[in-house]
Amino acid sequence: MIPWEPIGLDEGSCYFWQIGPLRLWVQNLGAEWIEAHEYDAESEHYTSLVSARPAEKPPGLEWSRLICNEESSVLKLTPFLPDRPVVVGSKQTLKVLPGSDALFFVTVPMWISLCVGRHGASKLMEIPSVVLSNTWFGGLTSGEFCYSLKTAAYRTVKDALVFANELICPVRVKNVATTALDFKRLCIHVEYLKIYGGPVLLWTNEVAITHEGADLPSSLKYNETPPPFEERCVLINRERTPPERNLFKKSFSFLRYFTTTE
Amino acid sequence: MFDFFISTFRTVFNPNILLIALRVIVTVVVGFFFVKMLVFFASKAANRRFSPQSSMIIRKALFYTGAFIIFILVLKQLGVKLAAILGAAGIAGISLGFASQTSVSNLISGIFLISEKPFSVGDIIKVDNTSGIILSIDLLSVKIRTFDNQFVRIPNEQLIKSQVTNMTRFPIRRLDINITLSYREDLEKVRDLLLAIAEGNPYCLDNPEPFFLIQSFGHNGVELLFGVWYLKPDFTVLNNSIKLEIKKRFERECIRIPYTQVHLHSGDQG
Repeated sequence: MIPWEPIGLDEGSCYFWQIGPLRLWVQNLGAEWIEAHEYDAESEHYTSLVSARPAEKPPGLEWSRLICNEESSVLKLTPFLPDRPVVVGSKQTLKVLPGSDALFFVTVPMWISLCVGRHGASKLMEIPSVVLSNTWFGGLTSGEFCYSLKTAAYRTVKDALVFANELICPVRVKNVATTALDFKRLCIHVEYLKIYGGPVLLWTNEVAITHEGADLPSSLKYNETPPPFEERCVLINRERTPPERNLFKKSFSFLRYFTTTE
Repeated sequence: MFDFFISTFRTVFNPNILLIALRVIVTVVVGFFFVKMLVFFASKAANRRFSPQSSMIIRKALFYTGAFIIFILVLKQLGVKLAAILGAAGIAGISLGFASQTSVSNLISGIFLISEKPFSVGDIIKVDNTSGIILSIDLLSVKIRTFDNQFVRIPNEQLIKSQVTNMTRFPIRRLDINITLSYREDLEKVRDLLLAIAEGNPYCLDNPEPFFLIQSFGHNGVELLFGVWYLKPDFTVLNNSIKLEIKKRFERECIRIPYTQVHLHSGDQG
């Protein structure tokens, strides 16, 4: 059973989920819901996936009371992308030669939203599936507050080690400039990406960044179709921010950050 | 007595005087209506384009200019000779100018501060020994709230003359921690430990990377500077958490921080 299906929770009983390092307990108290979660730092638990298993309320956790007007005993967990851009780094400087393009697969941890109702009408809360460290992308006087990813940008899906709490974001970098594009860190604005579910993995739509030169704006394109790397991918969640209106503006920001070499 | 009332009544309710009074009332009502309308629309436009501070100044400038024009129009309706008043105002202005040198200086300084924009409402500034959050920037003074919740009014002239530090101008800052170590300690081990502490602290940015510097070989030990970057609202929580962690980890790893020791010798012991 995948954790994104709506599930009816009997009043009074406590249920447990584990999505990678995130361990989550939810209890339906009728007029309100209570929730507790913790992070399991043991690395072997990063592949664990447990969906809505009846469980005892664990002692010693901090519980949150969640009150909503939706009178339903159905709870729906929905994956979201992080609420800030993510920065993926590489130990070595990556170089894309003029006229070349490269496809990278970046594993991004998901955020989980708890919604009440079969269609998730009332959102109770949103929880990160892992605690990410913060980073700054850009100059010291202007830049962007981002999450830092410890994973690398993989060249093939087979190389990527995908944990239970992660989804894959395909990023195509195309260099149409006359000089080589070399960079060590890549900032991905995940708030503009949709989430698709395949038979095995979760994906985002592909983002294509075309580098046209160090001082020129790079164009940014979000592919509207499901990722072609797995068959029968279905849309699970829409983007947090629709990219259409600010795409051009954001492209300028992208250029500055994207061409930052360190 | 009765004749006095009759004559006063006739004087007051003279059609000419009533007409003048009516004109004055219409001028004031219509004038203020237009001024209010002008201020309203200008304020809406200014809110979209300018900061709240600039918007407030535009509002006030328009209102007072409008009020002054209405005042002049009312005087004209009353038949007051403006040339004589302006002449008197010139003389009064000179005397007032001498009397209000400080205020004028503050006013001009305020205009410079507003146009230069070294800080804005909500910033944290430090002026001499006073630091706090800016509540308002007015033409004569800047009002701040100190961290122990006191209200401080700083004249603009003083701000222009003093060194002002805006502590929240940029989105990220570096917290510098000075550490002195015993000469017996392994500096590479200490460096790795400090970097690991920074990496484990959720309020510490991993880029820009933490800064480690061996400053000098001092009298009491090796003096180090360890700087970590943080988002400006996280100052207190980062400052406390990272210093607590450094002390805890140093104790666990038996890394000693030397301190000045005073040995007292009794005179009897020779």
